Amino acid sequence: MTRRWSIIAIAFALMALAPLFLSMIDQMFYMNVLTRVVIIAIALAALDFILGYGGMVSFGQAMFVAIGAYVCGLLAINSDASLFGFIPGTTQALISWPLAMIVSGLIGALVGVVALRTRGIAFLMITLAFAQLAFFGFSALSIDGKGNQARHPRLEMPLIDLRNDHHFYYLALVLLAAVVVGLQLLVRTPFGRIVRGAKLNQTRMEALGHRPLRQQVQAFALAAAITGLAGALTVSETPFIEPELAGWPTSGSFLVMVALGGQQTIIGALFGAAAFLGLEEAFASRTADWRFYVGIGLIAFVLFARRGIATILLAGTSDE
Amino acid sequence: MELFIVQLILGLQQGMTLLLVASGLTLIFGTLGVINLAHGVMFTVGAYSAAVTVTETGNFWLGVLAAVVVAAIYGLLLEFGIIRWLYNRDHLDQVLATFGVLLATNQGIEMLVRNWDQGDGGGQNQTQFLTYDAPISGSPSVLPDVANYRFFIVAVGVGVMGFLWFLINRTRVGMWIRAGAEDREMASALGINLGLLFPIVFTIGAILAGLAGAIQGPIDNAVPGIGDRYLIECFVVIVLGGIGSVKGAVIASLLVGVVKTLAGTYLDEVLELFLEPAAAGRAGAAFGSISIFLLMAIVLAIKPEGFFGRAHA
Repeated sequence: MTRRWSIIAIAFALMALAPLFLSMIDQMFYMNVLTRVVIIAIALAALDFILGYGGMVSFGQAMFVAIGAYVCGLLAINSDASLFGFIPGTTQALISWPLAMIVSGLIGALVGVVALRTRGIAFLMITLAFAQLAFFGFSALSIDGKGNQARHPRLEMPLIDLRNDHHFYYLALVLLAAVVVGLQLLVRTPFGRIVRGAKLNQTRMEALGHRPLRQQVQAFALAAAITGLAGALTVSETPFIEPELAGWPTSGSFLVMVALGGQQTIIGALFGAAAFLGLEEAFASRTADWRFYVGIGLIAFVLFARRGIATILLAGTSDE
Repeated sequence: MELFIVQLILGLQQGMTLLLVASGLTLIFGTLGVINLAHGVMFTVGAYSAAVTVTETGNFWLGVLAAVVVAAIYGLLLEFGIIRWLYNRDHLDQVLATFGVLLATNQGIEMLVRNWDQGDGGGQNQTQFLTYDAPISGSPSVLPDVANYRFFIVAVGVGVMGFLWFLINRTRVGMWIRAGAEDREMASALGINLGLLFPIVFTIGAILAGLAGAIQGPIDNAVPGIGDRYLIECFVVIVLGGIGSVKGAVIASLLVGVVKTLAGTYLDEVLELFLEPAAAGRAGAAFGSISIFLLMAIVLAIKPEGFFGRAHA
């Protein structure tokens, strides 16, 4: 367990120093990539919790990113009026971020209740279908009486300047650290053990007197809320909110990144996001056909490597 | 009323195309136990093979033949090279590897089409949107407002499904497929060669999807990633009908096709009462898709295993 915490500490120390390194080599352009790594890692940590520990292969996580983003974006766009006529709009992140988490979490609970009636392949397809539902739902929206894509005003926060790249990056990094440490501790609690037990053997959990469905739904909803936070952060990083946020290629790439970083490790989320987005950045700037090479690489990874980065680093440690 | 009948037929036709893709996918799920995100790719491969062949030879039927042959060969190669190593892996590995196949194939098609000489010497700026026509005459018209070609697709679908029914229920290979879907280990223990059965099933699925791509092409055109749109609707169909059940896929495909078309048409009109036409049009189009996912959620809430599925393992 100590090795696990040391690796987490080293990873975050490196991430905290990364902007300094970028300014030393005069490549501040990459602050964008770095910030995206951190935001996506938040969503991935949540996915790893339900997937790696809970055995729920959700192919719909991008839906919660979109929900979080739309909650914040719509509130900001309507900051001088009201949303749907009765919700006062705001650009205040301290209000809209928690709201984004609550809305994502509640929708996550609803989706979980239906989707967790099934297992395996069916669960995967149903979460994908719900994400598509969200995608088409957002496509149907008319924001400002115009299209479904909208430019929103920047969010703000007391003391911290969200428009400042460094302020925003370190805030996101702190939130990621809180999520990683929180989830890492959560898997050791009785709640976490029931979720893990349900992955291993549902019938046996029931024989032991648990009804893991309730904890599974709670875990799914918690992951949705955390993913909603990642969506809320996205709003400060891009000027637009658009239905594509919920698109299935995004959900698919989340699964890829979790596998690449190492399932059932939580901190693997950060490694997976860094490795994947780093590679994407490297390939995309060299060839328009980077998807071809990513696809081949992915097949090779599954057939030959099979173990993610953090899985190798953490070999021999346990969650207890 | 006339609008209703026209939309009903259009819905049935879309359901029929969907069925060609979904029936193969549900067989692959049911028999091989593999979740195959690359199934939609077979549709795209079929559409592009047909488009290129029709453009080069001017013969639609040669295009359909090319689509079926190319899809079959590609399906066999995939099974031997990648899919067969995934049978005993968990779902996530299957998702990742087939997602990789999807990315690589879609991009690979783009790379090939870019380098294909479309009569102007080839080059970087060539279109990826290929169009081609089918020689199905519009007259005498079976029903005004519905192109005869739509009836042709329905007829092909019915024919193929009849053949599939015969194959599964009346032949030795079909017996293996049914046994494999029932219980893989037991079928293997009773002497069925799974190493032979699995490539057969996978290739049948590939051929069906490739055929669907070829005959849907004159309507949808060959567009990058076109098959993936069908893939996601196929997931809905399979979950609704019950994983592994061809019978369920038939009913669910037609249901999904009809519900989507009708919801898209009529919600559009209802919405125009409340919204300006542009917004109503956009919302109406989205509601067509939304309706099928809602349908799925409702069915699952009542019957998690789908119409004809066994309890999920």
